[in-house]
Parts: sequence; C-alpha cells; structure tokens
Amino acid sequence: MMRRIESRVDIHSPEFRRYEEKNLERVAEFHRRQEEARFDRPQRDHDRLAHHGKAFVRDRIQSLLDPGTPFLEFSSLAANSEYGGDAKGASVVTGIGIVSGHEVIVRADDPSIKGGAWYPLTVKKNVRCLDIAIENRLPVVHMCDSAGGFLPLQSELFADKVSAGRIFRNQAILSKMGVQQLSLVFGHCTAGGAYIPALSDYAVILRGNGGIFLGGPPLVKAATGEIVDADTLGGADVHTRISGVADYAANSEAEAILLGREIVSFWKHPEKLRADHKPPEPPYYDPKELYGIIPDDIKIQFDMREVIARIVDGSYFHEYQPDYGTTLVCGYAHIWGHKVGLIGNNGVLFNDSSLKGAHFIELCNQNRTPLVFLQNITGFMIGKDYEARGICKDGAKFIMTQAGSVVPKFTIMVNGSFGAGNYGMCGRAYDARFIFSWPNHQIGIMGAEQAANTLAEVKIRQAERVGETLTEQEIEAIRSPVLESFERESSAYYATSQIWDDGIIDPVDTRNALGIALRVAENTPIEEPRYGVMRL
Amino acid sequence: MGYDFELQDRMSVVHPAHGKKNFTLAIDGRLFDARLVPTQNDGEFVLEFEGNRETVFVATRGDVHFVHFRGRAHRVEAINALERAQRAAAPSGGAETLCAPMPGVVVEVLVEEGDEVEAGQRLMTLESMKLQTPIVAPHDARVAELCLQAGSSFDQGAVLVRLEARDEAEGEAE
Repeated sequence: MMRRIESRVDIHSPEFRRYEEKNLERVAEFHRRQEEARFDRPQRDHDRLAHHGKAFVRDRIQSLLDPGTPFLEFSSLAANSEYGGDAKGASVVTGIGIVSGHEVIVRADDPSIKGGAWYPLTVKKNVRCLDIAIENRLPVVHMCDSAGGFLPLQSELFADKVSAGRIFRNQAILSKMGVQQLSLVFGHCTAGGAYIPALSDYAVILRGNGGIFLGGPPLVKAATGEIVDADTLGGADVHTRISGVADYAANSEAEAILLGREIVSFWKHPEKLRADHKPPEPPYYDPKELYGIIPDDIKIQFDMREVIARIVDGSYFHEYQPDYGTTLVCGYAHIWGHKVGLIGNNGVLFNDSSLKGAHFIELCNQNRTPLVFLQNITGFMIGKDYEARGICKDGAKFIMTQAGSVVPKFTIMVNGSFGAGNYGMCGRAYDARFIFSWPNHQIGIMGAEQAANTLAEVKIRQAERVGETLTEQEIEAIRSPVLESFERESSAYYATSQIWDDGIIDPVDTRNALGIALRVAENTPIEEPRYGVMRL
Repeated sequence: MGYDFELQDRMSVVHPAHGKKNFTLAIDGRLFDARLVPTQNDGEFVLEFEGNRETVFVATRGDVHFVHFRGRAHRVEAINALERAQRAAAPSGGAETLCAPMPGVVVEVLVEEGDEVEAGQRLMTLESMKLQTPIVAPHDARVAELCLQAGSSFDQGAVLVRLEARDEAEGEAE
C-alpha cells in the first residue's frame, strides 16, 4: 500500500482562481491553434481534393484506425512559426494509433497543403516519427500522397545527416529490426518518395490517383525527351502487374484502407517486456486542478508534487530522499498501471540535488524502471561558492548517468527549461522516447531578461574601456531587441514549430499521453546500463 | 479486424474492444458498449447493451445469424468490409480485353460473338506447357470479338477476346 500525496493547494484561494483563469486561456489558445492547423484550409484546396476524388488526410486516418481508439498525434503544431505559417503541421500527420488491434505509427502526407510537398520541417517530422518507430519497435503505416521535396528550399532538406535520405535509411533499419511497414499510395510518390513504398514490406496503390516513379513525367521529358503520362509511367497496373514495386491495386481509397487493415491484422504482435504492472486507477486529485497550480508568471515557484499528484495512479507516491537535495523531487509511482520513477524540479539544481538525481537514475536503471522527467528548471546554481564546491562536476555526474541510462525516458516540459538544466533533465539531446510540452512552457539557453541584461552588461563594459558611458536610451536599445527575439524564440509554440518536442499537449492529457508512451516503450528490450567515468 | 453486419438493409461496423470481452459497436459513427454472455442453454445469451439486459436466442448458419429478440426474429448477415468495397468499386460489366497470360495454343472456343456471358463463365481453353488454362469472363458482359480460333497458336499478351458492356451494346443497337 503506497502513501498518497497530501495536496496543500487551496482550490478556493484567489491565487488558484487567477492561475486557473490564465491557464484556461492558454489552453484555449492552444486548442484554437491546433484546430486551425488540423482543419483550416482555403476552400480552393478542399475543392482541389474533391476534384481529384481524394479524402482529407484526417478522414483517411480515421478510417484506418479502429473506431473508438485513441490517436496520440505528434507535433501537431510543427512549422507553425516557419514558411509564413503555410505548412500547417509541417504538411504531414504522424502519431500512434490502433489498426486491427495493433499499435502502429501512422505517417500520412497532407495533400491539402502545396500538394503534400515536403518542406525542411516536414522531413524532420518524418524522420522523427521513424526514429520513434525504431526506438519503440512500432510498425508503420505510410499514407503516401506528396508532390515531392519543396524545391525552393531543397538545400535545407536534402543533403544533411537528418535530411530526406534519413527517412529511407530509417525505413531500412526498421525492416532490418523485423518491424513491419505498409504503404498505402493514394497519390504520387515521386523521386525519393518512391522509396517509401519500395522499402515497405507491403504496398497498396490506388488505380487512377496512385503513382510511383523515380522521375515524374515532366522530369522524364526534360531528361530524355520521352513523353509519357503518369499512369503509363508508374500507375497501379504497371506496378502490381509488371514491375512488382507495389503488391495490391485498389479501386478506391476506402478499398485501399480496408485492404491495409486486413494486411496489418496478419502482423505479429511485439513481445512486450515483462514489466511490473498493477491495475490502473485514476489520480485521487482531479487533473483539471493542474490549471490552478501552474502560476501565471514563470518566475513564481510551485511544488512539483502537486503536479505528480494529478498525473499518477491514485496520487500514490513513494518519495526517495525526501530531506536531501530538496530542489529535485525523486520517487516511484504508477501511471496507467506502469511503474515509473519520477524526477521533477522544485527549484534550481544545487550540488546535492544533482547527486540525488544521478543516484536515482542509477537506481531506476538497476531496477529496470522507466523514468519520467518533469521539467521546470532554471539551471544549475552559479556563483563563487558553488563553483568552488564543484557544481560543474556534480552537474556532469547528473548528465553522465542520464546519458548512460538505458531505461525508457519520457520528458514533460511542465514549465521552464533553461540552460544546462535542460540537459540534466533529459532535454531533446538525451534521447527521451517522447517529449511533450505544456502550452505555458518556455525554453532557452537562458531567460529572456537574463540574456538582455548579460548583453547590455557586456556593451556597458566595452564602452567603459574607451572611456564612454552609455545612456539609458542606448542601454534600452541594446536590451529590447534581445528581449523580443528571446521571448519569441523561447515560447512553447516556437519550440514545437522546430520539433524540439513531440508536440504540445493540454496538461490534463499528460497522463493519457504517458500511458500510451509507456505501453509502446515496452516493445524494446532494455540492455545492461553502463556509464562513463564519473568525476568524483 | 472489424466486421460489417447487414440487418434489414442497414450496415453496421462492429469492433471488438482491446483485450476485453466487451464489444464496441460503431453504428452510423456512434459508439456503443455491448456484451454477449452465453447462458447454460444452447443458443441462449444475455445481451448487455447500454445498461440494459435482454435475453436473446441466436442460431447461426455460415455468415448468417438468426437472432430472436423481443419476440421478433431478425436475419443478420456478416459481410467482409473489404469484399463489399471491392464489389462496389469493381467495373460493372464494362468493356474489357482478355489477353493471353503465356504463349500457347487454343484448345477450344466455347462462345460466339454477340453471346451474353455471365461472370465466371468459361469462354475458351488454352494449352501451354502441358497445362490447360480456362479463360473466363471476369464479369457479366457481351462477347464483342473472338480474336482466335481453335487450333491457333499465339504469343504472350496476344488479345484473345474482347468484351463489351451489355447496356452499351444495346444502346448501340438502337
């Protein structure tokens, strides 16, 4: 019998009400933006789809998934701050869903945006969803309907390590690992895109709209002078009767999807890890109270235990080292019946809290317990005393164990994520299986005000050296553009636009998102933990 | 996998819920939870649906279930959803050219030009590599042209029979 967290939040206090009002606003803004990215398209784009007899990407996905089952969408607001907002969701939909009782990743091009053309962030989102497939051994259903790379930006999406080539490399690696892939070809798969069905174990191609070719008709004409129509070049009958590039021809999107569901139903189920489970129960405290716990100002502190109490089963929590390194809260709980180790920030990281974090990560690795990081971190403590006590080497230990950890890790960007604290708390560079952010989240190498003041300080000293003094106005002229760009680029929307996370979620959905993430993470065996040299 | 059921001309899609004995029924896009619990009597079940419990009797022959429920008997047919979509999307007896799948010799021709043929009806028999292959009508149609006679030899891909739609042919005749 585990002990329940005793909440100290007064849900009738004026403060709670004020925070709640602010967070409900933030969440409403998030849902408005998400709804717009998902569904808002100019009428002419809807008309063009209808003219070609194509269903909207969301409807295609809905027909593919088992009715009434959840779909955990990734990065629904990717690219919201780029390309003038044109590439909504980075013009591809990715997520985890259930098809014929199998957990799969769905990767669906969105032809309602520039014919489904791949922007640089489309490629990044595609690569990321296939990384998730590899890390969690999840089969993939591709719904292909893309005009190909967005040529005006080709230099940003083609040649680098994590560029378009990585999509096909990841497909090949998945196949090598014995994880299945299916392509449903609803539109054109041109050039590199042709490798998506070709590298899939199964490929269904639609008669009429479907086409797979290394070079489309215009390129063929330009290159060799040969004049050929798309259907003769790479249509369904060519590929299912002659070339063998695809396996099944379908006469309608509905038929292709049902055929896809039948194919998936014959796939093997992954062998799940034998992890410790108990029957799930909802949190004792209402997750909706999270809205009244997250302050309206990022500078105001709150107790991460109050967040834990509204995410974990029964609000039960075994706290590890409750009286040591108290700015880091560590302990065990269950989420949807899965045992987890939670690490959350209750302030800046000191020497003791860094050591506590490193020790707890080692315990969870020894124990084969997945780790959930709840980030609200301003960084490691700085100043003469702390440098002298070796904050750098204690921080290094936290980062060393965290990077060497082999259990599945999940990160929730609850609030702030600043400086090296982002690293210790399993930021993007540390291979969390999933990172989800709340709409109030802010991220950056330092806070906006700190950056503005640091730069102003540097300029003031430069001026002093040549015997000048900066006026108030001159200092403000240095501060304000820095403040502005830092504020813009540290917002949750900018972060999710760049795919630094796997999407913004409503705080009340955190428990469900983690539940799905924990379940799929059990597809991958856990190796023996090993760490580098600790500076003791 | 889901199943489509036809009940008095209405289609319903039924999906088993994950890992439970319950079923999720998707009817016209709405979801319902249901459970069918067998009793000790053969063919008798207790149906739990939306909080109601009712006794039903079920007799099954192949894909057809006869369900006795609230004093009435219902015929419910399970239909594979994919098959239904394929049937709906298949060309409805249009024009089609049948070609030789391999080189060989025509053994016999069983129809004449202008004949109305039904789906699955044998039109000719070919022989190649000591094996006889029937050429059958893929759908209801009318024979527009027989391109080869018994005893003729042909290469792979040679046109054997041209079919036309029955309606189309009638339209032309008028």
